[in-house]
Amino acid sequence: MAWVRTALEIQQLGGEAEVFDEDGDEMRLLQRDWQLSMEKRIKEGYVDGIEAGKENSLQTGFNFGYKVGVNLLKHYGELKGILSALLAWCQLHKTKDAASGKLHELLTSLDQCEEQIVKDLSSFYKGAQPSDLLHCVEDMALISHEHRCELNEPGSCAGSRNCCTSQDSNGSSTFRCMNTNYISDSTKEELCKIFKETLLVAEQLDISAELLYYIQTLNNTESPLIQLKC
Amino acid sequence: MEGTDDLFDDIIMCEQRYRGEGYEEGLAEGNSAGESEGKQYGAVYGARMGSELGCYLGFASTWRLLLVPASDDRQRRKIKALDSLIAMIRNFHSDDPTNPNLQEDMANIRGKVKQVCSMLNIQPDFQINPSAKGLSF
Repeated sequence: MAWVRTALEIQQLGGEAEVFDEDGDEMRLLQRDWQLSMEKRIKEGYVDGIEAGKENSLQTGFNFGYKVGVNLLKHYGELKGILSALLAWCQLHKTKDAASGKLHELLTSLDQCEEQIVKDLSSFYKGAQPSDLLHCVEDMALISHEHRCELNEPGSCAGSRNCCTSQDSNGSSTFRCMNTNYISDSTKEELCKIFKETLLVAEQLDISAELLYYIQTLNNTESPLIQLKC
Repeated sequence: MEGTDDLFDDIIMCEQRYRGEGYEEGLAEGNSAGESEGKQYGAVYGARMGSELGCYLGFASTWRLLLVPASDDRQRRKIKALDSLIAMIRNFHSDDPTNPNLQEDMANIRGKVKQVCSMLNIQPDFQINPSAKGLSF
């Protein structure tokens, strides 16, 4: 603590000064003045430092978070678009009222899931991050890099160790492997249910095999849906 | 004499030194606070963007496959518009927030979606959340 050192130095200075100065009271007043002024300098520096630090890292943090958000949500958005298109198609043909009702219901549930994911994502970054804790543990040299991979932040993919190496650098390669660790188990279950029911409704509609195949491919390796283990 | 100079230097530099120490402490704290604050805002903003774009892609791709290729001009125009919308979304570097054309490209995509919807004569039910108003049309 810088101010403790100030206090000590002031004491030392004061000790020497007292040999020459008999007016101790005045000296103490000056010491106090000096101390306050130095504390003020430290505080000023601290405030400026915080501001500069925030300015430095806010954009980097934003870019990182943005990539996580875009890549996590676009597949669920795609499912939403499919449901919207099927619903509009059913309404346009004024048939299949049962299907319309079901599609509408699925859309509402999917919207709720999405809101929940955004909320979880936001609170994940609000709180202390596992990566922050890891840096501390690493500083203490308690764990090696090898172990760090197992304690991964959700920003990198679980399962494949290679992904861990690029963790948190600039995010570009990390996100090729999608992760669903940000999503709570109950939301994952709900998303799986929505996906399966979408397929069921689609199969009952008079649509082409090609379209059915497109909906099924939402659950391929590129998409996070497969990691939900639907 | 030199020793005295050093002493005065020390006293004069003191303010600077303490200020610097405070600054370093603040800088480290500000860095980590700014990073997590930035991540938080970025994640929410990116999530809205990803969801909106994904939605347009799913919507356009599905309609593209719902439409039966026909010989009449109107149908062909619809298919052409859908194809160009899908291409616009696929070519859009959505996950780069430093892309200077991000807002402009997004506005173009939204415009194309509107155009496609009116060509298809449908009112899409995207149910975009009111809190995402700035990102939706």
